[in-house]
Order: sequence, then structure tokens, then C-alpha cells
Amino acid sequence: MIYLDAAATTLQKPSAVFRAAARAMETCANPGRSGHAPALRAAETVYACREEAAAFFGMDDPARVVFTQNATHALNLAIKSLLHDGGHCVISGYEHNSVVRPLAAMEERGVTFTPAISPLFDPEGAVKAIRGAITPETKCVILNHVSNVFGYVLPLEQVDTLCAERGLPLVVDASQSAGVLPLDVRRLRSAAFVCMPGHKALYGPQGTGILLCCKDIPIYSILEGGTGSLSMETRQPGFLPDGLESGTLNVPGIAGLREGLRFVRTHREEIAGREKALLARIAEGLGALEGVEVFSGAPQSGVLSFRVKGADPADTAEELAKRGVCVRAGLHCAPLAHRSGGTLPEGTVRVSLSAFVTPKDGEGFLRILKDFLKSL
Amino acid sequence: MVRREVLFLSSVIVFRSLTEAQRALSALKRSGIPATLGKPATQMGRGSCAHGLRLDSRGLARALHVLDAGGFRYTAVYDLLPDGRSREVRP
Repeated sequence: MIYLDAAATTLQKPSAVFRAAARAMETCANPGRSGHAPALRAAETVYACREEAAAFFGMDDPARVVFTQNATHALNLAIKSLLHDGGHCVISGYEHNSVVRPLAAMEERGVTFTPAISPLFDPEGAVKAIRGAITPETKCVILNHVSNVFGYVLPLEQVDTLCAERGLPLVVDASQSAGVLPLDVRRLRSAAFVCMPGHKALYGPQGTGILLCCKDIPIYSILEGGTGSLSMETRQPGFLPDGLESGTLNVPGIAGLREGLRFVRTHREEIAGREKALLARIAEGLGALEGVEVFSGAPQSGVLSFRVKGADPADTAEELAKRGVCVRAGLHCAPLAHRSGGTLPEGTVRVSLSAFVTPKDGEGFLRILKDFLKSL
Repeated sequence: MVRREVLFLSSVIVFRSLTEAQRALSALKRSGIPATLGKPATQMGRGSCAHGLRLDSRGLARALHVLDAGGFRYTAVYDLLPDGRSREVRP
């Protein structure tokens, strides 16, 4: 099998991730609820991951690292903290439905939003479009750091500067960048929240995500309940991380995520370099195939889309799957990105890389695709 | 030979949340002050769930200095008395 669907989730993980998750299931109870050894072990496990994440992303305070179920959960918390009482928001033209749908659902609460549509692989155009979409009523900006469809790296630093100049909080969707691209929140002046999955390029188990709360913005919980703190009060605690972490945490997942974070902390630059070289090789190989349209450009990271002329992307992906190649096809839950990239309505076939994809995998994929094209 | 036993008391610094207690524990460890995390008696948490750091009372003043200097928020400090009772000593 050649697994090229890391943008959905990384399938191969460091072995330490599996071991840590299994060990936590065997030895950890509920953190923060009791004082016995298994509960304290769970508390230590969770806090160790908070510290690891805080150090990796440049957060001074581990309490500002909130564990979520996934990036969508983190984005919902960020969006609802900033816009729960309405207001206007600008989003990039490459946002996922994990941003668009919460905003659309909040329209009845007075939320409006403007997608800043800009061409693919045009960072200056993206900044210009976002600048043009900001109005005096705008309360925040949401930026997908890397498009999950095209791997297009959006201009985070420039948008951060723009937001800082306008006094606007920025929400960063780091779903495809966390663990691959450098991401130090101390360098971002306007970032209020950074949202990411734990199960993609951080190599944690599925069911893990992280919300980094970078500013002193009042939090808005979307799930209230037990937190192991202030139990006599009927109101949800307003402090971090408790206010956003009701109910029992995913301790095995968090234990695995800690090991994933440790892996990327020591290998991030190497992973990024290998993925960049492999992506370039795959783009080159696809470009040499007749009838294949490749969406390749700069800056790009880890993800690449293509289409086969005359073939529905879903059919292409299905044929590849039959031949042992795992890719994703369609709209990738990001119709807005396809609108911006001009790939509606059928979408694309997406190839996405991880630390465990080898050059041999890349060549194997190209060979199998070539064979498939001959059969058309 | 007369064997002298010296009884050292323990103190508990109480925090409203587990993570705050863990942050403080890390700060104390970095300062070389041993402490252990645990669940204090309910009354120490003013009737709510709380989390405490237990340490040798002789290190309490230094520990509080470290926590105050670092801006750590704790809700109460207790001495654990030899008879099993506790006595609030600060704030």
C-alpha cells in the first residue's frame, strides 16, 4: 500500500505514539478527578503533553494549550469565542468547511462573513483580498495557513501584520501546517487562536486536537460540564484550560500526541525538507503525464491536487485505491478553496505526504497512475 | 541512647484547577522545592473540587515566594497538624 492521504490523517505514526497510547489505556485513570495513583498518572501525562505543545509552538503558559477532539472542534471554540454575539468576519478564500459552516450556522446570531477570494499561489493577491474585505465592522480574520486542497501556503506573516495594524484578532487554521512549517506564536502579533488537529502532521491518534489561546480573550464554551474545578458553582469556569475542557479528556490520545509532538520537535526540518523534495518530484512526474492537470506552485507544502482529463476525480481515486494507492478525491470538505482555485464542481484528486512517505512510494504512485492512464 | 524524633509538618497550597497546580509544581521543581500533587480535603477547596501541592512546611515560605514572584494564583494555604486537623495560614 502507498498511503498518500496524510492531509486527512497520518496513518503511519512513530511507534512511540502507539506504545504511549496503549500504556495510558493500561495505567491512566481520569485526570483531575481523584487523588489516587492512576488519576495522578493521567494528570501527569496530560500536563506533559501541554508542556510539550507549549514549548513546540512558543507558548509561555501550558494552561493556554486546550485539548480538543480535532481541529474542527478547536476552530468552533475560537470562532464562537470571538463572534458569539455577532459581528463581521473576513476569511481567506481557501477555508475549509470547519470554518465556513460554523460561521454560516451563526448567521442567525448576527454573524456575517466575507470570503476574500484570491487566485491560487498568489500570496500578494491573498493579502490584498483580505485587506479589501475588512470593514469598520470586522471583528476578526480567519486564515488557513496551508490549503488542504492545494497545499498552497497562505501568507500568514503578512496577514498577521495586516491584522495587527488594524487591531483585529487573527484565527489561524494550522491543520495542514502544524508539525511541518515553523509555527511560533511569539512571532505572531495578532494571533488570538491557533487551531490544529493532533492526528495529522503532529502524528497523534485520531480524536486529538489542540487550541492555542494566545490572547486574553474571554472564552466561550460550547460544551459545559464537569471540569474537576469550582464544582460548587453551576456556571462553567471562565479560566483556561478548564473552561473549554469539560468532561473526561482523551488521555490515551493525548499520551500518543505527546510522543508525536516529541517526534516532530526533533525531526520537523528534516520532514519538511523531505516532503518538499518529494512533492516537487511528484509534481514533475505528474506534469510529464499526458492528460494530467497538476496544481503546483509556490509556496506549496505537503499537499498537491491534480485532475485527469476526461475522468471524474472520484473514479481516478477509486482506480488508484484498487491498485493500492490511497488518495482522496472530490471537494475535500473545502468547496470555497475549489471556488478560489477554479476546480468546481468536480474537485480534484489530492496527494498528501507525511514523514513516512518515501521517494519509492512517490515513484510507485507515478508508475501506477501511468498504468491507469494507459487503460483509459 | 535516647532517640530524638523530629516531627516536620506538611503544608498544602491549594489551587482552583489541576493545570494551575501542575504549573506551580513545575515552577517549584525548577526552584528545587520538592512538592507532590494531590487532592486536598474538600474544606480546603471551600467546598469545591480543588487541587493541592503538599510540601514540607519548612519550605513553605520559599515556595510561596516563588509562586508569588511568578504570578501563580493559589486560593489557600494550610498547615497539616499532627493531630490530623488542618489550619489555614494564608491568605
